[in-house]
Amino acid sequence: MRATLRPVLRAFTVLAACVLASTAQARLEPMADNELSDVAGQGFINLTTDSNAGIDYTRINLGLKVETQMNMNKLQLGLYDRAGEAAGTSDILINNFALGSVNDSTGAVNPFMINDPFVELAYSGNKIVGLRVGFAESKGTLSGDIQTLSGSVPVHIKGTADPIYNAASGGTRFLLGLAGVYRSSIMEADATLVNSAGNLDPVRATYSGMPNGSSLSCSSGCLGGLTNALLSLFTSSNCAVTGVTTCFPLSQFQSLPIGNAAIADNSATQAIEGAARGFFISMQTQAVSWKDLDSNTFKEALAGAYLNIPKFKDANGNLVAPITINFDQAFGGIPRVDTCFGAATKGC
Amino acid sequence: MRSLLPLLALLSVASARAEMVALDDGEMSKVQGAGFGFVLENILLDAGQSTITINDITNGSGQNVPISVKEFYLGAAGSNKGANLNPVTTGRLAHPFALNLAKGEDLRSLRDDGQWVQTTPNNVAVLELTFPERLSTGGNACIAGFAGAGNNCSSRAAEKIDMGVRFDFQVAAGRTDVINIDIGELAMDGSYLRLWGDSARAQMVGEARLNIFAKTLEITSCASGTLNCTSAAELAARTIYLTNSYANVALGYGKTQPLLLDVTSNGQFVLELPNPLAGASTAAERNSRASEFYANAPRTNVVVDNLNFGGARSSAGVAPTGGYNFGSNEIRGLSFNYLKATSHDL
Repeated sequence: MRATLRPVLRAFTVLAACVLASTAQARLEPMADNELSDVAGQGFINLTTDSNAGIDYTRINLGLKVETQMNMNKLQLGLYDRAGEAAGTSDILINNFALGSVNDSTGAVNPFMINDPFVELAYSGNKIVGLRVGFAESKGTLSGDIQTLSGSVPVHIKGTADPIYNAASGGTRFLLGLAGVYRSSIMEADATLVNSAGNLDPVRATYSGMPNGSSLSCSSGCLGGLTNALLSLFTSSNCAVTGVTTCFPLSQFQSLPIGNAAIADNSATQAIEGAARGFFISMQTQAVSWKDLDSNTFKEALAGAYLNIPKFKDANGNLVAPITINFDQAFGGIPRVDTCFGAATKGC
Repeated sequence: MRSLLPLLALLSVASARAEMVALDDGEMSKVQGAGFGFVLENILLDAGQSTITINDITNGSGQNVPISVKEFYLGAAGSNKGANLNPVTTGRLAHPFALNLAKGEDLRSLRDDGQWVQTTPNNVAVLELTFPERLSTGGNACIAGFAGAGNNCSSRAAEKIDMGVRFDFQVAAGRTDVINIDIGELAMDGSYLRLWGDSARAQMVGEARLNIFAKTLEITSCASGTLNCTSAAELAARTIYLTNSYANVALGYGKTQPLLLDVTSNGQFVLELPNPLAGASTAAERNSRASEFYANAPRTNVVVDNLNFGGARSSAGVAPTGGYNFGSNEIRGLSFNYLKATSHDL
């Protein structure tokens, strides 16, 4: 349209624009109070409070959606002498910590996603007894060489019994067969932070595994209904079930999924679809119960530095462990995803 | 020192009285940017009798949570948390604060290994605000008695600062959270903010480095003289002590990952550190950029040599005894391959 304007018409257009501009030179007028009151502020920060069991909480919420792929050489919290723990160890020590991953062949990143990070203080009277930094929603891959870990890291192991058969002795294979477990049977077990003897160890743990007294269960493909009853007779003891190892060094789990990667995010929504709610790192001088953002109940974190990797909801709305691995991964670990461009996969 | 040269040049102009002659392009390209250095001499800020109230931060129900900011002070080190305030002179002529206009290829940043490297792109005019420098040799302890923070600060002990401020959050009816912060022997050497225009992006971009070195940082959660906050023991029990702490916060690497700040049409802000490999079309180019980025891009470190909740210091600057000792805590070598943060209303 503009290209077809003849010079005279073009000049007229410029003149008209000038005239219109001169009429637009209005004086700035102050707004009245009622006009100002109609203006909504940009509220990307708010403060919320809670109380539970004599502890008052103040949480500073930040309205932020963050996508990141980051690396750090070391994350170390709580390097101090602690009764019952080895000298020189930390509550949390993760080397080559990373969030998200990279794709060297394209140069693109697979970002870790965070919605509404927060900082929260716990008060006993007017004394601060705890501090936590967390994310209302988060999803992506967390990587690192975990040296010691304190906190809650639920793991669910599910897969065919084939790797169990491969790791089992002849006698154990016989017992599994007697219980009606085939190589193709789907077996399940819950694992958590333990020590090398299979005892629960939420402080400075170096292993994840089936705690003493827990047992494998069969969810499908086994012979008859007696299988689980028979399996319950073989409980994990000292990190083994009838000779099959049930505890695994944390250092071999080098990349952990946070949230449900099977559910794609919809970038048009503020929420992160498939996110885990309530990932946090905290420090407290006593056992402090922090509000779980999924269940709205309070869950206890022991004194010291504490990492909480929360459960998330599956497609059916059931809360499931954030780390779900098969028995091959349990025995062999989870290799690290690439978090560095170029030749290195970590430590960049 | 370089920053003083333009000032000297200006002074000499008055006596020269020569006819002004236009510079040609070749001469122009050799001209270092203008700038000036300054020293904060005999600074003392004492707002102990003043209160600023911040409104319109809301709670979950949308009700106002007033935040009172009070008891701000800034003075010479050794103030005993502001009780004994004296003026401080920070920066000096050899190592001043500076506001410069310089070419990107002439600016340097100090890498963690002590090497000076160029981080800003060539052929851009950079507006730079800098704190006193860190040095390759002959520096002073960034934190007295703590070698871990480095001995390459230009600021001497007498140039370090004590400062503090108190925030009262009226979080609920009958409940006010107090956060009273006192920082002892603060230095911020090597901090800078650099801004320039990026013609390809058609926006202003930048890079920033915020270095904070503090011998002590104490956070008290009650107001002195109030309930359970009267005796020294009560105050100490409600204090979080950080001893020998420093942070090197790096945002942006001008060559391939400048810091981008933007505002969306609905008034929200966007902070972005773009992928340094963006636009690289071949594997060789991607590898080359990655190597250069990892070798030279400044990293973020946050180190607290001792963190203690409660307890008491036996003397100034010494880690407390008693309370809960969290020992040493650190984040080292943090860098972003990508970061994008977009705000939204809660």
